[in-house]
Amino acid sequence: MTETLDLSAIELKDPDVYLHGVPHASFQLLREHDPVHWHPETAPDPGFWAITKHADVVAISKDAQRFSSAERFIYYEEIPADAMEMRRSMIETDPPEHTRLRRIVSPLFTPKTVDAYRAHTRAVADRLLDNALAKGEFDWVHDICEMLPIRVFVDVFGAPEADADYLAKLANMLVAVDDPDLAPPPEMYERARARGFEPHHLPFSSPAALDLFDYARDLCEARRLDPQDDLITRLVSAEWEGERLTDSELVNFCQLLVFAGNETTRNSLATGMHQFILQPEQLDLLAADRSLMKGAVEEILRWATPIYTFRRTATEDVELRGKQIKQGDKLMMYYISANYDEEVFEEPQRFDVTRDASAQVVFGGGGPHYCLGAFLARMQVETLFTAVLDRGLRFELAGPTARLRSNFGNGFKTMPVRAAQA
Amino acid sequence: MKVHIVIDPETCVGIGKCEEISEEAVELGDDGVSHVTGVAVDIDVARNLCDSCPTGAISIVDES
Repeated sequence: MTETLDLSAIELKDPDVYLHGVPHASFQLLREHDPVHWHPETAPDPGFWAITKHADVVAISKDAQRFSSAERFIYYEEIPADAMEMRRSMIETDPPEHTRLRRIVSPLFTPKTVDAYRAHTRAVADRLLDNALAKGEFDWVHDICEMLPIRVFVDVFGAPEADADYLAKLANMLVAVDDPDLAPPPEMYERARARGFEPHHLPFSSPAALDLFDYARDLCEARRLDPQDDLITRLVSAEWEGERLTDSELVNFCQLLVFAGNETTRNSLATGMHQFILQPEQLDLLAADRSLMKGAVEEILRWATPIYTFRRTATEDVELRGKQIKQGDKLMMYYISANYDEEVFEEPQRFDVTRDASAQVVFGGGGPHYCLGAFLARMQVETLFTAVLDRGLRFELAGPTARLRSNFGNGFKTMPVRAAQA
Repeated sequence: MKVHIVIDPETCVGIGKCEEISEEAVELGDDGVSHVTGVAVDIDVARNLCDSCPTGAISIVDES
């Protein structure tokens, strides 16, 4: 073969690239030919190293000392220096600062604690399925996925269930700033500007963050006056060497949790159902042998990979697969590529609930930033699909689906369905 | 064979996977850190604990 391969045309940052599906062919080429690939960006953005192999995502995730989350944050976006402290949450810190913040909330998200939310989650799932099925045709994304995780989350968080839909709407407007159908309306931008906030001052450069901050501030104040057994109370009463969390730490923490506790799980539930609609025999396998369910959850998550990528910044010069990474360089870790790495998952393009997908890096590649909600997410995926199986339900598409326009969140914004014969 | 494990208190962020694997060996505190109970566990369980910790905070102390 004398044919030369031009990888410079591969585009991974443009949200349009993800509109009609994950660009698996590009990732596959990079894994095979240039797994640590220099990807240019439009000036003034600096360009980045696209990390596409599972082993490298894991190694970088576990090495928080050389690959920082705090230095330049964790997204494609270059955060202006004057906005950093206003926007920083736990996910944009490094140890030991990260460790201090993480331990405040960790006890509420362990496998043992999460088990206590199982019955509530099932009750919510049953209620949502009852309501949706009564309609005949319904939108799996809107009627189920958008509704379930936020209702589980408010229970942990300590917000009233009546506020669930409002919080879900704000969470959508954080992640969907690049999608014209879901982005915040112009008046929200105007309202933020009138209060002195340009979009770049706010998480996700979304004015919806300001509304979330306001909401969080009120809830924090209520719990200071009247402590409860919930996450908000833990946040407002946490002390570290006599110091409480600052206002900015508190509201950013709440913003992070509302986003992370909602968007990721909802997109996994949507993508999971989409696969079961395309391949009902996979659901039949689960129906015939429920002991496959735990493993199926890992495969659904691997397949769904609801967050494509997070960034790290090199704190020193590092050599990786022969490439010279300089101090300050930007690295994008593509979980979506790592989860389809042929070296780890045989025939990765095959959705197979019987495979061992436990090496998936949906919750990150390990290290201190391992997803706080990993067990809560697993429990919800398991609970919802168990509820579907218990009812003997199968679904079919009742119209065209639409994917989210985003280079960050992998999901559907609509999926019309109707119940089908099992 | 039974062995003891240790947890690096600087590295542990209280994920709780270890507690799920062996409540006999590990208990997650309200301080958000996993603590060893001091009970020795089977070497296989101990190895599973070490391998399963996302932060790599667990190690075996007295393998012999």
